[in-house]
Amino acid sequence: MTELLEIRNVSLHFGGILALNHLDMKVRQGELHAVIGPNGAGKTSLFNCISGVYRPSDGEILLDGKNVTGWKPHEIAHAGVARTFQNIELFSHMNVIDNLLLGCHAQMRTGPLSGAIFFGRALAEEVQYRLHVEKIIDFLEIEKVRKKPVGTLPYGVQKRVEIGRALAMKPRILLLDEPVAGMNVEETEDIARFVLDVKEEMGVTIVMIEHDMGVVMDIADTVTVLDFGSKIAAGTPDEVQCDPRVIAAYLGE
Amino acid sequence: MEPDTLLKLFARNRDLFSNRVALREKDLGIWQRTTWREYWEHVCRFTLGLRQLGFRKGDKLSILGDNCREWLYADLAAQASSGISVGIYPTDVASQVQYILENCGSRFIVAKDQEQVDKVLEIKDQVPLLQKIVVVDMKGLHRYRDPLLISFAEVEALGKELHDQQPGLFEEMVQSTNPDDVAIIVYTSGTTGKPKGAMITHRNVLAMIRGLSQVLDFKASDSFVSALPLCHIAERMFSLIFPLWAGCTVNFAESVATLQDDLQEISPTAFLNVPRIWEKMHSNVMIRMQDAVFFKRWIFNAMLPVGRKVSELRLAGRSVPIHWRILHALAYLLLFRPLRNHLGLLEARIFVSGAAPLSPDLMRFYHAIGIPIRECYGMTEISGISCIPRDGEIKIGGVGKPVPGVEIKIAEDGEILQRGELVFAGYYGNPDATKEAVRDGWLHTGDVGEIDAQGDLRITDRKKDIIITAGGKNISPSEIENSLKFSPYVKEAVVIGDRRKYLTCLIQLEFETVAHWAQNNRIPYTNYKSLATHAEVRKLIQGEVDKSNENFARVETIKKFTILDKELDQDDEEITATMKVKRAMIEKKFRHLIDAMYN
Repeated sequence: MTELLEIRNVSLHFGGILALNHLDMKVRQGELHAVIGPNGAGKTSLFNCISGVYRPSDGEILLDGKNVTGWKPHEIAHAGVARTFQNIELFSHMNVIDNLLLGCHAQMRTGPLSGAIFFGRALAEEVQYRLHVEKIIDFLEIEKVRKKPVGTLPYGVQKRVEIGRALAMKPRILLLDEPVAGMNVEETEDIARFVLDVKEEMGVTIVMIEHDMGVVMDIADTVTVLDFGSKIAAGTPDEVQCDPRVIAAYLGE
Repeated sequence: MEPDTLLKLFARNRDLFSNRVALREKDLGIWQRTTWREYWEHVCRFTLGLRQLGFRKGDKLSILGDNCREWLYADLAAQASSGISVGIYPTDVASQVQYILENCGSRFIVAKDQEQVDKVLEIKDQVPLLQKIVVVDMKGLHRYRDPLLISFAEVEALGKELHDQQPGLFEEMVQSTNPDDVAIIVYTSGTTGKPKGAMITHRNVLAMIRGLSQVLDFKASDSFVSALPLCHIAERMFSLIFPLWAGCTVNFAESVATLQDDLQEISPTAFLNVPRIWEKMHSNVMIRMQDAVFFKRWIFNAMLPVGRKVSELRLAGRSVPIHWRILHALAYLLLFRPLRNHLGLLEARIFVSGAAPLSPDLMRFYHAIGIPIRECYGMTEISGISCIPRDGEIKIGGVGKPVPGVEIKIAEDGEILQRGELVFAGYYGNPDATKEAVRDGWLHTGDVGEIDAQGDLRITDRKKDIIITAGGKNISPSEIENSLKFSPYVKEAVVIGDRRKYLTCLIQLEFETVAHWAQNNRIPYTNYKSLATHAEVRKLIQGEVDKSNENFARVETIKKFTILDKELDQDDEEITATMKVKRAMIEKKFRHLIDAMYN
């Protein structure tokens, strides 16, 4: 397997605070890569660097061999990186379909003018993406709520919609920030199953931040452990689990 | 020549209706259509595909999963191969699936999706006969490598190859189907003991069609929504057999969760359901009315009695005076039309309730809002419906006259006996049970009833359920239970009192409505159990029991009741797949609760 995403010696400072410290990480094509670590370890900062929200103070981020360091978030999105957020960031007054269609927006080729006339190519494109959205709805089993405003849905379903919106971008890499946080056992199992299906049936590479060790150990192919902005371990779930530094970081010395 | 098997009817429909829509299924948010010709082609390919895999005359094909088009393709394909199709309830757990596979000796099974495939794979080592698991929806099965698995599409592709080589083969197979062959095996829900497989031949089914077509006038323009499990004989009639007879359209909901919305979109012209769902629809209406604004509540309370009055007159066969007609027209515009539209039943003209007795209160409610339900009597062993009221002869509490071709008499002990070409061919692999059920050509139904002066049948109860109190009085528990279940807060009621001093009852709450009530009354709760044990809820249910008791004589009143602190579940073997309670099981399981009510 080749590397799809490579973090090369990336550092990130906020004034005197070191959020990421000379971090190296490789995500191979088609794998499910989990990033774990205690609170404040720099996991979300890493995601923000990858998706272009933060510009690393030092180092490079390579996507499919191309240096994308310092690209703007929308450029990164165009390059095939989609993400979900730790706190749900959906448009709560729009319905599920519209939220998902918005995810397709980055892919659409016709402009606002032809969209307003809504004829020919613009119409064909709209139909094409509407079908794409329906396939995602089918995949995530949210048919029942497709016309409901997102704000009225239970938390677990909203999380699913958020994953759906990221998938609507037809991403090559999906960044999931704590997809099962705050969920009950059943919802967690559902999401874990969807994440695996995204990986295997859609062939999307996934980088996932997660605190639920059960989920990580069950479904991840590779795990990277961060602590205070540095990588302290990396490997398969089994290797990482036995690593004394990881145990120390999680349980204290 | 008149078609004498279901498959020959199918061939007739292909020519008669060719490009009319036979099936619709909502997929990706759009109703996808299948014409009769396409329907035929799918069945043709699947039949020949099964043949390629080694499915032969007399073999059994089990079908496990929620209703969908492929369910019907598989059903007809098994019959076209002169084989037998066996439906299994999608809610059955793995051990129940195993029992049926072993009992009927299926070598092939069609499983709808991952959930069902997992059940079959779990027990595949115990059923060595099993050769192939045909999967309709391959979603989530990416990682599965079991050699037994094959997708529905692959089987159809295999069939297409054979069809290209021998284009006349399928037609030949269809024409060689024999009316005396068993077409389907339907497993009874088994309220007592293990399910038994009732064998139903083409001749049985055709006889039923001949009889019912003289009572119900189904047309090609009719449409149904397939909602109950297809393995049940009633749904099989509405989704497979009636369309084959009359060319109606069958619609499949997108998923179980979206059924109510899909029903509204389709607005079917005929609607079959079981009392449980009619009860549920009624309690949803009542709850919504509680929440409605003052004006809407006022309309509801003012207009419903108008509907009641008019429907009473109509049921009694009397003419409706002009002022009541005018009021009724107003009530229709203000209440009944929007209400029926909300229920998705605006276009419907035939309403049937079956499988269990419906409470008279519920019948009156639906008749009042312009949904004239006919209660029918039927059973698997008589290939479906055997009694149904004719137009204009509907009676509250009556199930009408026998359909043409069925003879009915009441035995000395009150048991209903039936005879005719509709009587099934016997239980599969169980001649003893068959002998027990059919004696001297008469099917012993196990139900007790009576025939009134007009020749209409009334069902009292299941023979073995009749309660004889310590005082020697015969009591039909289902009448009392149905009266209790009319309350929107009661989901299930089990009356107890056989050989005891007085009647008691176990009650299961309708969680949604009681939870809603608790919220409105600021009663804190966390789950079903906390509601069930709350003193205020007990008071609420006491009120409902008192209300119901007013309908009955003193010996028939419920003296004490207990609210079950868990919901009855099929997995715990407390109810069957058709939501019928297993009395014996419940009486055994909740012995301590019952005994406490008699001390």
